[in-house]
Amino acid sequence: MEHHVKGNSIWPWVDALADLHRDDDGPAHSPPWPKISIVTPNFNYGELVETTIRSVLVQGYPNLEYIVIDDGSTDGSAAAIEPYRSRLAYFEHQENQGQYPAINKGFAHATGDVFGWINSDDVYLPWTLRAVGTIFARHPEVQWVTGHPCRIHEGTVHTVGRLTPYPGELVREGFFHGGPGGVGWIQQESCFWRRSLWEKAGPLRTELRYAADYELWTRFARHADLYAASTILGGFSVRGQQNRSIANRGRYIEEVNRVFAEIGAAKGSRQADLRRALAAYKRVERLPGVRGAVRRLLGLKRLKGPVMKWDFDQAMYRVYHKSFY
Amino acid sequence: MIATMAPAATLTPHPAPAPLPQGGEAGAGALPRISIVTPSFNQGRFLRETMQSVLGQGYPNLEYVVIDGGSTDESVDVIREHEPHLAAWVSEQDAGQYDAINKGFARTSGEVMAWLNSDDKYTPWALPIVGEIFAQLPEVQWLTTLLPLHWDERGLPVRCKPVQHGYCRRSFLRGEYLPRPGAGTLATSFIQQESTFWRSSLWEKAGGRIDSSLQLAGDFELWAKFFQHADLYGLSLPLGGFRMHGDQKTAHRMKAYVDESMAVLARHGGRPYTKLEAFTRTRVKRVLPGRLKRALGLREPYKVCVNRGGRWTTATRY
Repeated sequence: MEHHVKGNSIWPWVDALADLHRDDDGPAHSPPWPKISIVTPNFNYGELVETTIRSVLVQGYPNLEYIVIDDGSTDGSAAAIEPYRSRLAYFEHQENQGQYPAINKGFAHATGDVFGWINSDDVYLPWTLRAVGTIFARHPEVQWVTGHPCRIHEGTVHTVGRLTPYPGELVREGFFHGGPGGVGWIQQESCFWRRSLWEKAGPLRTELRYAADYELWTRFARHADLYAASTILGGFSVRGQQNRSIANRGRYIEEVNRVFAEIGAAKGSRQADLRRALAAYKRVERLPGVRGAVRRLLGLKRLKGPVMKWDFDQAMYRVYHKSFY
Repeated sequence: MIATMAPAATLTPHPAPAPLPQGGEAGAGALPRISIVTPSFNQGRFLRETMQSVLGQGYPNLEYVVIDGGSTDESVDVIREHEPHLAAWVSEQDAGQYDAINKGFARTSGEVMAWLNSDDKYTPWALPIVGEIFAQLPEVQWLTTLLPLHWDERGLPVRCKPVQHGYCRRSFLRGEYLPRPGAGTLATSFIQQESTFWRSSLWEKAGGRIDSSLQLAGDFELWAKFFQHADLYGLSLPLGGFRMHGDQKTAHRMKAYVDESMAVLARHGGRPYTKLEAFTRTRVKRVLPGRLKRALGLREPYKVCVNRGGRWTTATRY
């Protein structure tokens, strides 16, 4: 997987959008930028972590609090982070405890209005923080947001997926995971949320080692809907996938199943209903004309989630409640 | 590399990007020269971002020409700022956008060509990727993205609607790339000009100029001519975007653009679907399974460029 031409020639090494760094965007277009706190946990990702750190800092977001927690790295990570130390709001080199405790520790030190974390083998895009800041500044109803699902490889966006809604019920009851029986997953790399939501529903459960983000989303969904905005905020990296998910896919699925069963066993769980609804829809989805009235006649449950689409004429996002299927 | 590019004020130290290798892998060849033309007229507030999106990519074999139509705002100052990195620029009265583009391309010598309007913007990886593809795939004469972006006034991406399938000549002639009332889901995407690149040989075959008698649909007319000579390859990677800002009156202009394009299509032997055809085709397509659609010729083959293990190859999809 070597791109011989690109190497250091693209984001975040070449800064193509320097113009965005001007703070004189004009009063009409400058929302008060909310303070965004980003946490990066790092464990032995050597020079990759530098790419991650640059992708956060080079954006020049005017109100950023960037926190890096080094989780007991023993490789060249320290040297890679060192040149950026002065730009970090908080840095700590802790004993090796695992990725999720490191993220929790990072957020414990965070004072921003908006939170997100990025692992040390992923990158944000040149516009990510401004896009996030704009959404949270202009849409007070949004507690938790994501973008198009997409893949990032070598700093380049590949294969952007369709914008799908995330119905609150399905998220809450744990149907959004990448294992068998799941209906797709919520991409951690492009999720951002308000501090208040984290205070209500966080932190990450540290006894989980692979699927704590999945478990966190199920708790977030008890308090707020996940809005899907028609922009690209972050991506699923092929390298990250190779580093983590594929190698540990078996263990990831095991944890997902455990959490899913826990949710199902809790009092008032509606997992069985939802499973039936999904299966009923699956049976008829290929038939033509199964929409609207017909769907109601057949008694199919409507699962809807909020989607923010850009309205070209009004120059703002508009919220729609879209059917999941 | 331009001096103003590094955000020295926001980040220290700034490691200099490593020099780019000039191709050299088996069969890869050197990176082709890419010629970009920006026609500009009184859009100074966006021009700097546009120019930096071209110059800031660090593409080693770039030829960038800016043709200004005698702007009276800050445009000329912005161009002067970047003068050392431009192959050529002028500021003089011209006969409109397409005239400016023709003037620009008359001064370029690159093997790969494209233009970028003075309010639009590339993604930061566009030129390295495009150069790599044209270097590795001689069969590709022109290519475009299947993931067209839209920027808002401040240059943030706000829309990315993946193209449903891909692009091919037959569908082009049936008007599938002209979203218009009545065409329904048959026509959902334009060929995005900001993300389209072609070889100079194709440009020469197509007459070597844009029809400057057209007001809006010069790009569409160029695509019509290109399709006579070569397939359009799709790329699943955002290359550029159209900036939506208040000056455009989108809905009104969109209709004018589509009307003009329909006239162009008729001149080039196109036969757009009638409303009835579009309606029945949409319904039939929704019902039939994919394989049957293919057998009945309801799904056209289209060409794509795909990256397999770091090498670019082409493929045909349905």
